[in-house]
Amino acid sequence: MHAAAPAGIHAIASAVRRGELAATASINSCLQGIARNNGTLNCFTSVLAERALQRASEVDSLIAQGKDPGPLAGVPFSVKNLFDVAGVTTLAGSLINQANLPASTDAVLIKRLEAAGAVLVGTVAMGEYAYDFTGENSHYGACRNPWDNGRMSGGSSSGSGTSVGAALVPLSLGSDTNGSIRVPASLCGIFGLKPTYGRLPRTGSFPFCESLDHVGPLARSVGDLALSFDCLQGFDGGDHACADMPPLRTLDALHKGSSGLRLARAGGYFDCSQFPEAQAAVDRVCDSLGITTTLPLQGASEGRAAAYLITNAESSALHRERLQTRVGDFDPDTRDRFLAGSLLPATWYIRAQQVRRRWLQQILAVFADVDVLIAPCTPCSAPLLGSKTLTINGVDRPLRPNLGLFTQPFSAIGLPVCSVPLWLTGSALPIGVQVVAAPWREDLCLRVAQQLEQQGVATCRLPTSCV
Amino acid sequence: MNALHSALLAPGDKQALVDALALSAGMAIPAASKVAVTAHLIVAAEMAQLLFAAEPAADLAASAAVFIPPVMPTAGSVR
Repeated sequence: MHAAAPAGIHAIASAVRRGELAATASINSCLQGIARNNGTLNCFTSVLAERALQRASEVDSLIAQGKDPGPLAGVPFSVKNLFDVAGVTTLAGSLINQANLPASTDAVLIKRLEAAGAVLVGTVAMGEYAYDFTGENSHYGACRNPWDNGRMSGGSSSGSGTSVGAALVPLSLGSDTNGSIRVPASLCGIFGLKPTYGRLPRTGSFPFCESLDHVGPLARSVGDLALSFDCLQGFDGGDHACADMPPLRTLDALHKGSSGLRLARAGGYFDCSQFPEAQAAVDRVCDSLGITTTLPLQGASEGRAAAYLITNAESSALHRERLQTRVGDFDPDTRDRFLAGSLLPATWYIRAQQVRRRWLQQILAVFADVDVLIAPCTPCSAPLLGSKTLTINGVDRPLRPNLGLFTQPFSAIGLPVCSVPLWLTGSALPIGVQVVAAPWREDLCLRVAQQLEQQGVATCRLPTSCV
Repeated sequence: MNALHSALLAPGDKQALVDALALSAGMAIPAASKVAVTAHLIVAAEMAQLLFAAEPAADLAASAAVFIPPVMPTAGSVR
């Protein structure tokens, strides 16, 4: 038996299933890593050691009986603290939710991972009520970037990004309404999958903006991402937007890479020449894949604007009572955006829904001729904590909404996207690139991501400070 | 063009407009938040302006008035 913390999902599960590593040893190693590093990183908001060790011993018992505990045997994972965990209050990054009763049962996706042998070790930080791209939180402090503790982890799945980026766990569940899986994946240097809207059930999670909310995994390799995604799929009637779609077997298709696929670079709105890091990252991916076609993607700018307004209006409506009765208990950065959203005219919201529909029609027409699009993920690598502005077209704009500048158009219409991490020459920080496919084709995103990983273009590194 | 986003984007005092909107919506805006809320509303107005300038209205009206996601919600909620 040996310390298993830096190992990936495949390595841990294989060793546990072969009886070479006890699940309890895997979990103990993980818990020790969390204890060593969480004081610095501030990513875990609860550590469920007793539950995790109990679950791990059950996995070991199955092994001892000659039974198969599942493809994720003994794999530790964390969840964004908007997922219900039995016995734990679902904070959703807020102070206000502290007064709520603990959840009575686990979220469906937690049950699915544990049914496959994985072991939940804790809940992790997030921006308040998921209205965040930075990882900062006035109630619980900033979740810190594993590559530079003075920088942002990205949000709102900040703890998911940091806990996987620092290799404290090989897998985390996050949520993505406008980019909240992809932005922390980009800033923390890991892989993140935002599946098609409706693919994974959100049952037992605290909503942000229901018509835009997605849930999905973050991991340290494409193979690990695909394996966990395959275990997560399936219909659940508890989420009214969950599709009754046949599960994809994405892991089995990874070896195909980009062979036979029609690839293009997203241009127009996604032209990132004013952001040198993002531009260099997209250039490198496109060069590696031999992409020579750039498509303007008409409607993306308007699609992003629509997502901005819909998010603002719907999320403010969700929190209306809390804004009226406990406005002083909100994080000021989210409070003021929610308050503004509660004042939006109905005509803006309706127009946004019309434009969103139109944007979906426009992109579906593009996917008649293309299988996968490559686009920037974040405009820059991790900003310093406390940064407030981002320069766009020569004008200083608020950083908080604009870190999702390039992620928001795709989630607005529910497309599957895999964020892949790159390390540019001479850079001490990673940055992500989006691999985008048509609805329900997560397999294509993951195939292209796998090719980039095999080529050494997309890589997940291990920060030595966190080992 | 929607009159409200034009008003928000035009030069001049916007505070009275924001106060009136808040009053009509039954929201009390804390004094410390008024400047930030107004700034966020101006950003929203810029987004709205982009949407209203985007396409001829008739063209958009041919699309569904309300977005239909790939999966149509039926009933219930996630919690």
